[in-house]
Amino acid sequence: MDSLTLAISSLSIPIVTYASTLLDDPFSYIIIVALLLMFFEPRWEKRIKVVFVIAVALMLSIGIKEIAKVPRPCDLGFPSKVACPTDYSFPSNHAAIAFALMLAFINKPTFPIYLAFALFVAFSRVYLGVHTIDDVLAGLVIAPIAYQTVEIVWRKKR
Amino acid sequence: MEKKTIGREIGRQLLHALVGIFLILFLAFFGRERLVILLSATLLVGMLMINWKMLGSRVPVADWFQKRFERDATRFPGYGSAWYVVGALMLAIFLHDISQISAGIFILAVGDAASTLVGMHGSYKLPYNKHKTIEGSLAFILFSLPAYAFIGWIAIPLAVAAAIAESIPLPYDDNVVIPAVCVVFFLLV
Repeated sequence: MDSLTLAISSLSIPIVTYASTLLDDPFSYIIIVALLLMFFEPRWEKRIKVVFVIAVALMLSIGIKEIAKVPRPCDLGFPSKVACPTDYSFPSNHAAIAFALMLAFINKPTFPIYLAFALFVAFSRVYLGVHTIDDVLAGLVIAPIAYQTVEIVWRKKR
Repeated sequence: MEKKTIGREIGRQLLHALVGIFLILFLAFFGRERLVILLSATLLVGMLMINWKMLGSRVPVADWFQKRFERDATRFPGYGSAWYVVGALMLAIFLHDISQISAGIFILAVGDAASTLVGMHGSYKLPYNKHKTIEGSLAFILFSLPAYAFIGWIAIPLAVAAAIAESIPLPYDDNVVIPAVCVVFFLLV
């Protein structure tokens, strides 16, 4: 386990724990992502495109998880602040989704908000003890590939 | 190609190779963990700069860099550089062996740069890609071979595989195709 992952996961700040636990729940996470998408993006076409980018990022992430089969830090005996998820660790689906959402707004003034959200999501996964730094930063690689893939299909469709 | 464009392309490819060599040295001295942090931080700061540039703001460092090194026809400012960092980050995150990461970065940095520099003076077009030349692909393989110093003889099939992937007209940037080939290659070998 890398030293940064250990340092972040050993922190304990009640408000961060509350927010991280909220994001950990898939249902509330989807609601928050949907709200962030609907609130700042008025065009339906762009909203649909972003949903596709997120879906591709998620598929890539799940596919890599099944190939890499990396156990979660909490499966290796490291303490976690929530119940240890049953799937593999690398890469983080939460981070891949958050970075994909962020990237879709790179040409918008609201980009820093999405960047801050993505960074907090990435931090929260490590903080909760369910992912390592590598797992969450893999989202930074997956998101641009997912975005580019959707761009290619989108351009062909038009 | 115009003289000015050729000059800028040479500068661009030299920088491409030098950044890769810097990353290999950084990896050797500070380790994989710090390289991942450096590349991630660079990518995030770079994305913020791209965002500012796309919104019409002036970013002195990015403007200077864009004027001297960037190609004229890019989809957004910093396009090639952003993919380069994504590619290097892919190698650093998906591979854990320092020798494999170094070999991947070397091929991405030196092989790709040599391929472009030699390829733009080449005259034999590839039958399946009219934008690339046989000379360019051969230069890619030849200049990737010093990766032998990191991974031994498997540098030869890796260089050939990466050169083939680089020559195929894919809708993805070379800077991400080459690392992806390296990652898959090391997973299979």
